[in-house]
Amino acid sequence: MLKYVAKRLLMAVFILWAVATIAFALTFLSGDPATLMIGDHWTSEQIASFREAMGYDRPLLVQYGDFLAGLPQGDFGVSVRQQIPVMDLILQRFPATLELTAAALFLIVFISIPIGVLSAVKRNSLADRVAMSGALFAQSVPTFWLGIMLILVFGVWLRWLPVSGRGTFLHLLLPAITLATFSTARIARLVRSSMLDVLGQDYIRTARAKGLPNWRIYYVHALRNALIPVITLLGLEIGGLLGGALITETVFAWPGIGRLTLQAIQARDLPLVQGVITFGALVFVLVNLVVDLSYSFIDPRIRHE
Amino acid sequence: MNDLRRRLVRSPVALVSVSILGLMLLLALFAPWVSPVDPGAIDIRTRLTPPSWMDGGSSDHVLGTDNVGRDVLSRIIHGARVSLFVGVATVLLGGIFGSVLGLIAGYFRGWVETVIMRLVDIQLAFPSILLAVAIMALVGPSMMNVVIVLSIATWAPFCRVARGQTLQVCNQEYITAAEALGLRDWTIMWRHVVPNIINPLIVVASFALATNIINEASLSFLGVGVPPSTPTWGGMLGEGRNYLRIAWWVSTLPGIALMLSVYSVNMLGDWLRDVYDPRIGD
Amino acid sequence: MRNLFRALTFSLALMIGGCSSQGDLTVANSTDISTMDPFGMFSRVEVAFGDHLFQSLTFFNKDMEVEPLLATSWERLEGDTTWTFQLREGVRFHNGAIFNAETVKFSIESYYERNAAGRTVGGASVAIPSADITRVDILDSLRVNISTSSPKALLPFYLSQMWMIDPGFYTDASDADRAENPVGTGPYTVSERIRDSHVALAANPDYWGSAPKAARVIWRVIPEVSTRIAELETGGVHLVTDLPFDQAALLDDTPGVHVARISGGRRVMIGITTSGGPEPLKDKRVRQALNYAIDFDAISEGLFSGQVDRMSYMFNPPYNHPTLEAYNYDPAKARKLLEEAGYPNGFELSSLDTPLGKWIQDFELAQTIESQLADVGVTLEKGVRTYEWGNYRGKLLSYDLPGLFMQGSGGEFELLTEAADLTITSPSNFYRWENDEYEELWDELQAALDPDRRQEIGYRMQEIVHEEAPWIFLHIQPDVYGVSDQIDWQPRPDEIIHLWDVSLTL
Repeated sequence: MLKYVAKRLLMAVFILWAVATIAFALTFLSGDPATLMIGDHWTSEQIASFREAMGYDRPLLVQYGDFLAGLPQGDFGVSVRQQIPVMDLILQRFPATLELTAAALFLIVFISIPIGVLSAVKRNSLADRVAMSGALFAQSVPTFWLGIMLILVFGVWLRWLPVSGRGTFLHLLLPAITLATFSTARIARLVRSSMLDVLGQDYIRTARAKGLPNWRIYYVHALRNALIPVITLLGLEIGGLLGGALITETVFAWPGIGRLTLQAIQARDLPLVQGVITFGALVFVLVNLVVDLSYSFIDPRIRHE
Repeated sequence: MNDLRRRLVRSPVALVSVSILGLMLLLALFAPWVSPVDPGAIDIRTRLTPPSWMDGGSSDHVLGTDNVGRDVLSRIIHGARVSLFVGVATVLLGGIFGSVLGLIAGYFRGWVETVIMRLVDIQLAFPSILLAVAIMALVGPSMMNVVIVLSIATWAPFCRVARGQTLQVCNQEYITAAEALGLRDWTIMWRHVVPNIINPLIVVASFALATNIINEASLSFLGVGVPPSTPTWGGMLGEGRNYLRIAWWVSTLPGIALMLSVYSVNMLGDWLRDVYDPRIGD
Repeated sequence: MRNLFRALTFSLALMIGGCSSQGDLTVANSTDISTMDPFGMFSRVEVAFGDHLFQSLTFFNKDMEVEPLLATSWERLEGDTTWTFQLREGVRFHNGAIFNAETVKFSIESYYERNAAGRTVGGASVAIPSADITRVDILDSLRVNISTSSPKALLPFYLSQMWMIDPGFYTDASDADRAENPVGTGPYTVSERIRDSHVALAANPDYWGSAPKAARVIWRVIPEVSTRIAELETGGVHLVTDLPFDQAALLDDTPGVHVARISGGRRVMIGITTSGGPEPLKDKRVRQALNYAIDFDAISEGLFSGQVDRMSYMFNPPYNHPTLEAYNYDPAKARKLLEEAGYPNGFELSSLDTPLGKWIQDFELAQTIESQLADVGVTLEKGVRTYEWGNYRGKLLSYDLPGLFMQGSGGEFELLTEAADLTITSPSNFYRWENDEYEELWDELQAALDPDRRQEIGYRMQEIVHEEAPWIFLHIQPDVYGVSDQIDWQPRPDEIIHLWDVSLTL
């Protein structure tokens, strides 16, 4: 067991190193990073002294070494535009994004699982068909368009919910729905097919033969087994949610990591770009590490696969 | 193949999806001949003309004009080209790359598999849209860049599925038999493995196609997509969103084209999955 | 980890508390106040915001005139290079420190030291080299002498761009402290700041002047135009900036909301690379032909409902040339000029470059101009190319946009700073335009003190530019604001928003 945990941890560290390296390499994708970041009315001397202050005049390997050395302490350097340590900026925004993704995850889990189970149980019924084509449709709508529509309908026309910004619980609703829609549809479809798989298995038939009530069969025996692939996908979905936050936070003026990222990119704030990419990967890797490890505790067979 | 056709005819949903996609494909192929006017022709004085059936509409522009007076219908028709091209090209590039790597990983196992699967893990750890936006902002907008960036975001799932399927296939007796016969690895892979793993990959491709058509639109929304002078559905939807309240047709109509296509692709993917193997996840 | 925990509890508190209440005057911009460092705030929005916290010796008011602020009066001494400023008594910084002559010396010297070291100087980046202050001498606690390298008639104006800061705080403050904790003398202090969301300002209880009308002012950032408009309509915000012209019509019909339009000072044109770029553009006749090819009436009607001022001059009022006429739409003349220049069939350029969403309707403008130029035979191989603003600015500054490019020059309403842009040594001379007579006039203008002579030089400069056409003249950008009927606010032509004398009626 310990050996397995150690192996997984090592893997996580390796992936983070690779991601950080790629993020670092991104900086040099378009040539001289200094000229990307300079301000209005700058002279060539000013550019030179900026390059020196940022350390872009040093050999690439030295810069890379410094970059890596800072990572364990969460030191991604200082934002060029805002002159504040990148990690501070990220930690300031993180709660907002955490709140948004947590709310979205909540919606995803509590909407997609019941719908998926119902669709599987009432396979090919009208409800199943409506739910599944609805899910397909939800997967066909671009996130930004959905967000703007929700604002128009619930904010401007019906005036039920606040239009934008972060504040009360009501402020959270529209952005969370916007962010959750795509994944909800996807997971609902997965729950359905996973459920159908399980319902065909022998032990379900046995349970039925024993005369157990239907709800007990579906929600206790079948669902528990059907959920394993679902949880894996939920873990992977974290990456999608972080990407979706980029768009959702822009539409709803939500002060999270997504907005920070977009601004960093637009302002060519390279230390910040490196920071948010690496941080995003860190969150992703940690969540999936937890998911993986929790399996191996629940079901020891998975370790040996 | 015959079997597939028979099942298709029997499934109205699949039939409708195929028809919609076929129509879009025809529009894309014959865009220069079907579109009523030049999609780039600008007339600033007639900008934001409503569709012909509305007050103030004109029969010159059946679906109205956009924010610089270009014909919306012509742009939707030409946009089909770009949007479908981006979708198909990214799926081909990313799909073939990922599938080949997955096949190699699953067939040869050992350190090759380890390396490839670690690459997949690394790729999956990047929030793909975030990476795409960052790269696009640094390399600048062009159609080729969009295709490359979205291909990068696409290959990993292909690789996973291809490897998984290859592992299953390689346990089968006929592969062991082929090895015993002394056939070369590449021959076995090409003749015996590929045909048996291609169906699930096609299913993955259909979902990737749908996702990438939407991702192209998202890049346009964030201002780092295909250069705006090229008509794309995503670009029209993204740019036109600011006119939703005063000229809904500018973004809604290309949006409908986009959603219909994506919906059809998803529908078709679903149907194919049911046909091939109901157990493949997406 | 502790940081993370703090952030989490903070966010929980926020969820329960909410960020703004009914009585707060709220303004929504498309971009955030990225820092509150007085040397770091440099966009128009940031400078306007900073004016609520920091003050200068002088104030550039809404009539574009200089008036006393932290200095009560000033006079120019003999020799014309030294001025004496009398300072206001009883002014205190937000932290209680006293404002005096020491403060003035420290603040001005800080600006010049930073500028010399190549660090940012916020909104004073033009004023600093233009004023070229050489020394600040303390006469007594409320009087200073300020000297410049040569006579500078506009020193009081330049000083309106340099904020006074507390030496006690700013001498040793870290970069993070500067960015987070502004210490000025202004009518407001910061009560809450959530990055990418809002900054809340509260009236400064110890302010030396009359108390601001609104007790709290919230500066929000909402990047999406449609979201900003929706917030204005539903009463969530009271003032919206960066409004595309098209959306104004929508708000005109919305009850409780009105649109404020003003012809600002930002001059929008298509810059032309006059040297070092494509061969045809080096010829003055070609550049004039490009101007004659533009059907401005179509642009005005189509894009701006006819509500836009044509640009015929290059300096903002009161220095604008009174009789210069804008190039009219005359395609025949354009073709004739092209023929004379040796291009009877026109020619092909690489592209017309523009940022996306930086200037009002910039992309639509560029596309229209592309099609109008094509009508006289000037075509673009790659069409209109768009760039994100940060990228575009970099290219602009490194002369990496050879050919035609969109350019919007901000309104300073000051002859010297505006005339400087076309001198050959200016980093803002993106056109790489060089003209001997203009350079001579520029040298004379820098030293000229007589207002009539300055005006005369300004007129002559504009005649030269009009004739030489280093750009395609377009228009003066109309600024459009969405305003709630709950506030009595009037726009300024220089895009600066001041809210301390604005009241909110519920």
